[in-house]
Amino acid sequence: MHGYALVQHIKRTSDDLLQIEEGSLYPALQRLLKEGWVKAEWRISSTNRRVRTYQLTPAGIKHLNREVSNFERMLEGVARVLARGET
Amino acid sequence: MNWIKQFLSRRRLYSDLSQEIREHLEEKIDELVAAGMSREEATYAARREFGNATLIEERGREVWGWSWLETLGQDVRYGFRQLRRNPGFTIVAVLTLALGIGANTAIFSVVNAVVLRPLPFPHSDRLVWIAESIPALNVEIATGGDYADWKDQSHTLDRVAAYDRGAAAEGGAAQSADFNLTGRGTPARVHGVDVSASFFATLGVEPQLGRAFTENEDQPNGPHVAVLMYPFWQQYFGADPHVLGQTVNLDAAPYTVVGVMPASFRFPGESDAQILMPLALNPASERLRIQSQRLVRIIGRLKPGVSLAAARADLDEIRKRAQPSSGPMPAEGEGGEGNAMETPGPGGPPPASELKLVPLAEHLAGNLRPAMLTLLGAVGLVLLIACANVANLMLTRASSRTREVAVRAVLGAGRWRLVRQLLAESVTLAVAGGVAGLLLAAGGVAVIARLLPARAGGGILAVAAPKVDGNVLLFALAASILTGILFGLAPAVTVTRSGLAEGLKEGAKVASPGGRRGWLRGALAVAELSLALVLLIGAGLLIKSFYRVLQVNPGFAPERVLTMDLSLTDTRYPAPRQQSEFFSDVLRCVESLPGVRSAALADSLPLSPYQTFLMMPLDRLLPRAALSSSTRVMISRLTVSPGYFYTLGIPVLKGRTFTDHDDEQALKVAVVNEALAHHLWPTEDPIGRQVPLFGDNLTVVGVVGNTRHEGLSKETVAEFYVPYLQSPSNFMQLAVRTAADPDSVVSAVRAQVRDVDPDQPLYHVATLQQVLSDSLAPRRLNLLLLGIFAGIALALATVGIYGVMAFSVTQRTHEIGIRMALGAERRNVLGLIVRQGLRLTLIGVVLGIVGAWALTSFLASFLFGVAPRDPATFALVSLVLVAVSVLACYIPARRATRVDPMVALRYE
Repeated sequence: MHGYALVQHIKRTSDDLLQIEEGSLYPALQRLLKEGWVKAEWRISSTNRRVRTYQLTPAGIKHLNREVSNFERMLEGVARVLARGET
Repeated sequence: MNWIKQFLSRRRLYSDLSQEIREHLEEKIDELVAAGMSREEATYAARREFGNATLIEERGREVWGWSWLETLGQDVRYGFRQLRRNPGFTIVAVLTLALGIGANTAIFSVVNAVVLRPLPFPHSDRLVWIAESIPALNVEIATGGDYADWKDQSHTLDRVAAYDRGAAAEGGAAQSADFNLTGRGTPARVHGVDVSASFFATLGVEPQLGRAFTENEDQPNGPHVAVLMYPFWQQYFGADPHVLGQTVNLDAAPYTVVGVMPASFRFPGESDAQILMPLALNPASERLRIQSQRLVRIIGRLKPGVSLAAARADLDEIRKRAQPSSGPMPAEGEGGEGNAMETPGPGGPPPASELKLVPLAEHLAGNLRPAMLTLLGAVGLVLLIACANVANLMLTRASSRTREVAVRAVLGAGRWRLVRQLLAESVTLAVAGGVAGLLLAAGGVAVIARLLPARAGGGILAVAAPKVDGNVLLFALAASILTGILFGLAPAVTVTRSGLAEGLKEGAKVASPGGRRGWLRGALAVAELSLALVLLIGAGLLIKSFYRVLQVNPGFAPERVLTMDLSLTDTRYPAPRQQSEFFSDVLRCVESLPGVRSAALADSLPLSPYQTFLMMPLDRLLPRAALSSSTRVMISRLTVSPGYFYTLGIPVLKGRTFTDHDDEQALKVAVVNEALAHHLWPTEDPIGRQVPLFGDNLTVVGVVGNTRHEGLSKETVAEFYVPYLQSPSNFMQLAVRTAADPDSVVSAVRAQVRDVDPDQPLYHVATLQQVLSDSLAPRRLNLLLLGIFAGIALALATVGIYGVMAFSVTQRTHEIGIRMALGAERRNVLGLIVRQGLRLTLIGVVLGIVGAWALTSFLASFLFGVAPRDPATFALVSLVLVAVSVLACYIPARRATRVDPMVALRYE
């Protein structure tokens, strides 16, 4: 997926809940590139545009899983704390 | 690695990023246009939603973390351009810095060799020097018994080695490890060192050819074997690879060569060693510590992880167990130049001793360490002055750049960014100065290395010669960068401080003379002057000391005297009578030479290292109630020929000197010097008195003047002279007083000695003047270096105050114009400017005197006949500085008087 499509995807799937400045994606992508979690490649898109697509590397997938599970644990913790607060 | 790869391909990464952002915007615009917007509207909307594209792109780049490096590169490139644009400023600044950094780097190279760099032996940090120190006598000794005990009983030493450079004390005659080499060309004197078999393994060195000594060879009456030092092998065997098994004739005995040391090996502390032989101690008899003990020097190798303190405690314990209750204690003089020391039989208690165990490197550095650290401090001051000077130059230039800086600030550069840019510029300048300084230093190191005597300190320079190595390069680089920051910071901060609007105003007067910047410039000039004064006072004290040393009356006349050494091989001249006959023959032949006024023999000529001392209570010499009982005095005993006093120009004060009739059959006689006469017979006539010495009753026949036998800056010692015919010796020094240049008779004297005995080497040939001059070499070098540094400091400080005053005059042109228009005379203007400079100078002088007052005590050990706070030196040097400074102010002041009021007022 390339940058523009990524922005559209986030907007669409989050029902515009996550409003981001479109450009701020790029420094973030650079950071992922630097860590080696994604790799980038110039391609021709379905709309016949020259786009730079990003793909998760194995290291990126591993990191993502770790982050997701961390995030879920945190959410779970928050949820529990909130739940106890109700009783 | 990855980091470097990424850095090198960063242009690709950056262009990908900016292309990607462009594509993003285009896609968005296309989409919006497709949705029905006008292209212009779409472009605008896309940009709004995207955010600041430039900033985002920059942040995207920053992610990679090279931006600091890139801006640094930019700043340095910009700095270079700036420096190229101002060649005058650049040349002056680079030269100033080159002097400062170069001087520091040169001295650091020596400090590096003397203090920092490890000795060239494996794990040299574990090598230690071990001795018993006797503070009362100022000597350090170690005996064969100590060595045997420590070797067997220590549990902190991995290995321990003993060696003996000869000149041990046995009945006063020097038993030397030096030999007469025969059978290989001209007979020569060879400096040998006796080493224990453990010596090689302790230092961690091996012969490059053959082998080290075995334990079996290191036994009393062991085989005659030798290991050659590399230069000896080169000189006498033509580097013959088949040298092993061949023999060398030393003192008429053949020694079999078993090994050759590598070229890189330097005997620590014995740089002139030519040949090594087994020490062959007898541990059993040495351990008894009865009668004479072999004096040795001991080097130990600590076990890994053992601290100095632990080893000290361990060895001290062993030493105390072995300490004999009483008994004679032979000792060797400080610096160990072969001074033998005796205590006359059982007598007073042996003086207190303590164990000394220090890193070998520290022992070898000896007194060179404080000297070099003092000099490093001095050059540090020079560098500070150079910094202040360049800072002042930068400030002058900075005022013309205020506008440029203001424009940059208005365009959005942060203050830190501006300071960073200006600092990059000054560091660039400093590194340029550092490179030039390194070239200066390389030359300087060569000069210093040549001027430093190889024996300086404990002879460390022969083991570790100063050179420009990695440490030195690193030091120069660090000094440059620090210097750049130091002199760049103040100007950078002041320039970026001023209000922006003010800087942008067309033709704005940038710095008022009374302003902050003027104050800073004045302060820098004051700092330079005060630092320069500290150095000048230090140099002044050394100059005065040197002058005082030269003023010292040596008690002898060193002019036109040739000296040399003669040492007889015992097996060829076994009987004392044969020895004195040989010397008498030589004396007679040499005296008959044309051009020779007189000749004399002595077992120790003035300034020679062979002096024999006795430490004894006066009442043992002269048991009388009149003497305060047990005052111990250092007494020197000299064996001389009758012509000694005349040849050396030592005045005879009373009675007579020796004659050829004072031989072994005659009455045992002695001549005393004034100092000894004063000790023993303060009120009476010493002539005819009897003194017991060495089992003889000596009759005093004459009194001669005192001499500075040990050196001009050393105390005179009480001296006994005895006639050589009554005290024969196998070693004598020959002194020849000539009518003309003493060097002209050298070959004739050699020929005479060859006629008496063709196998007899004659060595250490030098004029007494030369010996005297050499004895002053370390003092001269200190003076020379500090003098040069003080000179540089004075020059820089003068330029500094000149620059400040010249700038101030330019700034005050307007004011001066008004003053002159209102009727000020030229001399009023002159006075105005000179007074301003004088005020700065006087503040600098006061601060400098305070600084010198605090610091010159570090010089105390290098001074002679001058107090560290000598008021005369302080006053005179301050006056010189004030005079030079006023002169420097006079030039701009003169220019001020030429201001044309009309021009000055019309200006602007």
